Amino acid sequence: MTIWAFAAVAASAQPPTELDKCLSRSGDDPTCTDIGGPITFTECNQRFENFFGRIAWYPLQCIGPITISIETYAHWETRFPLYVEVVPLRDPTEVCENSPGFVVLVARGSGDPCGTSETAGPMDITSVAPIGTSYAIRVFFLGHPTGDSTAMDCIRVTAQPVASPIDQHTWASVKTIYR
Amino acid sequence: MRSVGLKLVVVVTIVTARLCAAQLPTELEDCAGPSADFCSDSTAVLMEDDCGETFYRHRGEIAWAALKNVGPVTISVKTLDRRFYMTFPLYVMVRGRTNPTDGTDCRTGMGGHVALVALGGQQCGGAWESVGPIDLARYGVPPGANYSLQCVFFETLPGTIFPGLEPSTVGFSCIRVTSHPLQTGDASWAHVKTLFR
Repeated sequence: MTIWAFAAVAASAQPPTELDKCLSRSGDDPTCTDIGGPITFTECNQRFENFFGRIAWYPLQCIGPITISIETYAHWETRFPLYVEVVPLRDPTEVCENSPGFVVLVARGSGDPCGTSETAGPMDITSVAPIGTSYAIRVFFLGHPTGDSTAMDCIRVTAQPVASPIDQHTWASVKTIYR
Repeated sequence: MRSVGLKLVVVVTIVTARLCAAQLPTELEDCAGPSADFCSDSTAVLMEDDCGETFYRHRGEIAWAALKNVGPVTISVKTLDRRFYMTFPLYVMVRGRTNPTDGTDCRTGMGGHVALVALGGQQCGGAWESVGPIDLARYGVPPGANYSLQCVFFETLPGTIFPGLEPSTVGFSCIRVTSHPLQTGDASWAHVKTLFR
């Protein structure tokens, strides 16, 4: 009974393996942010946000290859792309400060007022975040007196679990394999 | 006696603060390598150039201690792009350090405004790229205020096909900031009276 309870608690404490966040949705705020920037409302009734610096969501647990999609919008003042990075989670307090990351997607956006979905993956991130370890998804915005980065709203991360090396077999199947 | 001691501490603090503020440099000249004067998020990776010049790759940011804004500045960086595939530019950012808690020490991860996007010289020995003279007030640094410079580097996930040749920001060698102080002319009282007659 005690072991079952521990197992249940441990399972519930596991970080999520996927992400589905929209800056326009209440409660989906990034885990850390630099300074907020301009907000754009488009004629498609969509809201896109800019920042000066980094925003990130974490922790996520690596269970296999990931696909990242980001909904972006660019307009006449857009000067720079958005850099989406995977950051191995060593010190969570530094994710928006000085933890170096690895670029997985450079999003340039388009002028479509309903947003553009830009996707990368499936990609193997285990060289920087081995299976079972935690990582952050970070978006790097760049700003300039006369222009900003591409703006964004939603970001999604989907994971494809790697098959466990310990496969499940029935006793009959094992007997068949080793006959 | 205690009051005198307290006053002494206050005076010493003010004098020290003024001396520190007065000693902030207004210009910068620094090159990557063993005697580099910047702080960084990651260790540098040496890139050899055929012409004997050395350039370094980084991940994250490198930054310098604060400078004082005494007038428009010209910012120049020497970079090298020797890759056959996609590379990222080097973003040079200006960050005002106008709040008392900002300090003047060397610190990365402070954010800021892009002042220069260096694409990297492809010729032997790299190339200098410059911007300026620029008015730092447009970057949130009023005259007399402190600011610092940061360079932002990007790099993709380590590749399995060509390890060590991941697309990354162009190689960095040197940075130079030259200041063009605003002139305040000396005038005699007679001259001032002439001007405002």
